Amino acid sequence: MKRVLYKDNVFLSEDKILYFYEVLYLLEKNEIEVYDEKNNKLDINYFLKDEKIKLYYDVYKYFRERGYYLGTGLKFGGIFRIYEDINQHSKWVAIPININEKIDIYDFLAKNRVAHSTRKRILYCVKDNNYRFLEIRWKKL
Amino acid sequence: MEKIVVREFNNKFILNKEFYDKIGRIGKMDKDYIILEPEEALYCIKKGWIKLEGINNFLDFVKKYKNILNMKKFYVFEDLRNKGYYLDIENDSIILYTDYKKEKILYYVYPIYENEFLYIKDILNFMDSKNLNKILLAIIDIENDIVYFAIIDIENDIVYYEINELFL
Repeated sequence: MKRVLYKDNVFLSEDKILYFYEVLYLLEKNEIEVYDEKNNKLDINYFLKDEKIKLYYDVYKYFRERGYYLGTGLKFGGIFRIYEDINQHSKWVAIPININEKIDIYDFLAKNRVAHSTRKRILYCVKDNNYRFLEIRWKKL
Repeated sequence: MEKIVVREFNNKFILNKEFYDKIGRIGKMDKDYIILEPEEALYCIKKGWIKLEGINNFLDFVKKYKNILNMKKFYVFEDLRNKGYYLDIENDSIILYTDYKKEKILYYVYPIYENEFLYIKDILNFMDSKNLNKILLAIIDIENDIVYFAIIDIENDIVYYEINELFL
């Protein structure tokens, strides 16, 4: 089984940095093993103790298991960019959010500006008992 | 055009139904009357279409009815109406119709000021209370410019999205 090193908050395989949430996904599926610098084996719960990481990972997993490809949304103002077809541009910039959270309007506008200008749509992935997905589309009226 | 006389009754503003077309189909038609919400009446006053006893202008109306006026609704109503859309005002929202017949709803509008926060729970409650899968968010900035965003609740299972997108 492939061994991955967790060091300085990133996952490393030899000299490559691996995508954080994909490593968690593979870790949960028992397809890799993760060790820290002292060679302690880490399981997924070690990482999911952090509420934000859990919130983001759950969304990652939701889409990953439905056949979507996800990458980081950093350059587009979100957490993930979601592809339906890896050969085409990504469709959504996903932002996982808890149902009790509030959104700053300035932040909302900024994210949507970036998404719109790159032909994507912001998708708020709202965590309640189930997921609800709110897609945002700028409307010129 | 001579101004149409309107009277106030229980925080609504009433005029004869013969004037419905003259005020651009604003308000709700009752049996014999048109009933205007305060924001609709304010719009008509600003346009100089109606008059009300003791009210000479826009500011008089705002001062007298400040307790029942919702300026957020007014700004959105004014902006969309000036762009040619047909609307109605309800207790907690603004209804945007597809055309002048006011039969088919295009959006329920959810107005918000730029300095407010958008509470996800409020948005979802608003949608659920009206059984909607989409609403129009109207963000009013400090310069009274308004930017609009459709918020679309994609079905719980994202795979249905492609089918639904055709109808949104």
